[in-house]
Amino acid sequence: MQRIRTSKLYKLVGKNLIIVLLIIMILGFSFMTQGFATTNNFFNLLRQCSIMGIVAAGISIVIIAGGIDLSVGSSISLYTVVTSILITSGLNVFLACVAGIILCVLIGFVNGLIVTKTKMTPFIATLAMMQVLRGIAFTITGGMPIYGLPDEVKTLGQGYIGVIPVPVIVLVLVFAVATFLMSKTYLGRYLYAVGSNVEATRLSGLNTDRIKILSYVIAGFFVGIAGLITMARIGAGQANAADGMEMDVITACVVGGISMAGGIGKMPMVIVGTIVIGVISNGLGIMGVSTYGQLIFKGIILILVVGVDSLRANYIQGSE
Amino acid sequence: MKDSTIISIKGLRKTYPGVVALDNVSLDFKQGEVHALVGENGAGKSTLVKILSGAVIPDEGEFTINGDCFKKISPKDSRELGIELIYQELNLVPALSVAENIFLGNFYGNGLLVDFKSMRQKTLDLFKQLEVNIDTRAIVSNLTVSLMQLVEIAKSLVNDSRVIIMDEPTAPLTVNEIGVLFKLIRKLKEQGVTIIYISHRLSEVFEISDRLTVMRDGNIVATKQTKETTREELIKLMVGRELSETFVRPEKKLKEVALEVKNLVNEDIHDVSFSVRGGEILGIAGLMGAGRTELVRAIFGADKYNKGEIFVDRKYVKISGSPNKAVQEGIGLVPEDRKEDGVLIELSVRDNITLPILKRISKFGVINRKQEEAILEKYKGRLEIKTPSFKQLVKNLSGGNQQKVVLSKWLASESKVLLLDEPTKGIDVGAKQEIYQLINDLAEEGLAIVLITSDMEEMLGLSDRIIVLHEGNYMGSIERKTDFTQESVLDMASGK
Repeated sequence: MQRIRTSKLYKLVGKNLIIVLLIIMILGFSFMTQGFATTNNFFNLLRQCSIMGIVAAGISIVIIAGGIDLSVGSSISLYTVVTSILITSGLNVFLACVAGIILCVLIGFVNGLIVTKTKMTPFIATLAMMQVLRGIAFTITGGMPIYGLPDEVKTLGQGYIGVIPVPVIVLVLVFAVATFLMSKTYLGRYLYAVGSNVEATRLSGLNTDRIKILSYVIAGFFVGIAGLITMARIGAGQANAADGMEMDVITACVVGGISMAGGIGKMPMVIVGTIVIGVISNGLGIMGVSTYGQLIFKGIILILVVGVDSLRANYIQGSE
Repeated sequence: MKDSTIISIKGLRKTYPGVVALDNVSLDFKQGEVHALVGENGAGKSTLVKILSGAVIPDEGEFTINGDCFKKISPKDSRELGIELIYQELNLVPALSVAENIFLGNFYGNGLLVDFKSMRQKTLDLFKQLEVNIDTRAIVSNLTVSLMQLVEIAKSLVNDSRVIIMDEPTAPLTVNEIGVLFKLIRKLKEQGVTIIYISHRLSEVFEISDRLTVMRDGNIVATKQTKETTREELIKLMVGRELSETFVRPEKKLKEVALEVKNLVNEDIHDVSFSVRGGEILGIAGLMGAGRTELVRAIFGADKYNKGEIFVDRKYVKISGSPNKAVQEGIGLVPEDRKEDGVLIELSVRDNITLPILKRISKFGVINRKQEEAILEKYKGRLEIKTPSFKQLVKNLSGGNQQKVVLSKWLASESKVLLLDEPTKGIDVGAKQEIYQLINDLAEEGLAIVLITSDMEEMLGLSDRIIVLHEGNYMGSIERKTDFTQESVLDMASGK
């Protein structure tokens, strides 16, 4: 009896490890610091990780479909640069922002095209894309920020609706859309199928190349939105914006239970993964730990979560 | 000498959460005998042999090997005691050569450099002794599955094994190759090696084994001299109930030609033409490498074809290289490698069955769950798929039920032509019967069925007509009325 009870608890904790971890961290920071457990900081925290979350929604769709996209950070920087130039050169603000999103969607499309048509591994293809895009952003601007954005744009990144920061609202909307897409639509099922086993999916009569390309295109759309929020928050176009973001985002996805092997993972858990990373940054920041020190923690959390999960998987498999 | 016991098992018990895999099992294996273990999937055969190979530690009981008594052993102990287990999944390293694989783990050499020359020589000697002919330098991934199997067996002999356990060794082999394997087994037996032989194919068990043990639900049901039992008795013992393994042949009403293939050509098939009518079961026979799988893959669009025409319901269809088109035209493929190509093993029963029809049952991109549920219920009932829920992952189902999921997928998408490539491979006796019944039912409903199987009885029992391939060439067809025997098929298949 005793054994069964412990194994039930073990299972429950094991299944919801991330949530348990998140609760422990929140409690820990609340006790250890003064400023953590306040409403103000709560929204501040969410705002800090909103851009990462929006991108994570996109990348996790790509990963679920069996790919990876390292070019997201560079796409965001190119978005801020290109859109800022369009706005400051007099184009309608709304049209400029939409043009930037279309640009990111196109980048996604090209990523998908390269991956499916050359059979290159997605890691390499998007690594190359990451360098190309960042290079373009720096070449256009010469490394200088582009200022002169109107206030209505900045509101998107810095404003509030009620007490809630606008980026947080966008984050919630993006996740609502992504969750709906992945769990209710046939396209969502296709994406899971392709990531789970390309050949079996192809032999079920689906156009697997098209589905893969679509995953990058959808990610491109979300990255575009993240680019818009980034530009609005920093109030400028900057070639070094979102530098190295892809690693934080992938960490959030993996912590949120997205399998790098593809086909496995749930969107709502990705937001939990994002918040875990957000809590680490925010809480340690309040405690005065440098960003370098935060890196150590993020790495440890990643090893802990994935390590325990893979041990658990082995345990379950071993008992079959 | 011949009757001395080499392994003696007493009261072995092994439980997993929720399952008793072995329940107080006692059994003796004698030196130099071929001892078959038979039983349905989940009967406990694999657990039993895994205990002997050290992969599984029993909860209770003990076993004696060569007079030494153990409660448990490690895989290393097991090897040192001369026990070798040849797994269903081949355990070779695909990127290495044959000789390297044979000596994997105990390379010859001086600690710095590997002595490839003597390894190759030793391998060659071994192959000579076994009368097999394989290039010792060949890279394993370039070998056919059957040759890999022979390499695997040769590998097990390097350590002077006294007991070789073979788990479904003939699953990937053709009739000829099974002959080679059996010759090898007899040779080993003469040398005093004990073979523990696990197989679903009863005809093989009767051909090769001296004694056999029937297992069911973790228990030993009976141990018998092979000569003193019959096929019917064995099946009854295995499933615990009467079960006819005869093929029922319903009266046939053939319809119009549903699939016609004209002069199909690609790398592996040379100018093959045939047609199948609705309601007809057409067998495609041939040896390994005859191009059977390649032919159905080309028809389904899984591979391209360079020349030739395909007609579905007398309508010309351009399928080459696009399963998407084949499915739209009403063709379904049940592939040979069920776990890799047939099902999406990590996804649910639901996700698998409705995959090809999702678009059809969606509105504005959103899946109509009610309609989906109704379709799932329909085929679950009709094919008697045993699953606790539609959310169950396919990997947790038995082989037979996995195959039913694949079939349901094509029935749900209303296929008119079904291409079945080894549909009963790795499926236990009871489930096989259900699949046979299903194939007959589907034909009766008017589907055109193309069947590939290495099991001759299955081929002769199910097919209305058989066409034979040899090295990608069409050799001829055999009608049920005329000369429907194993000999005539094999004659044609060997290229005579």
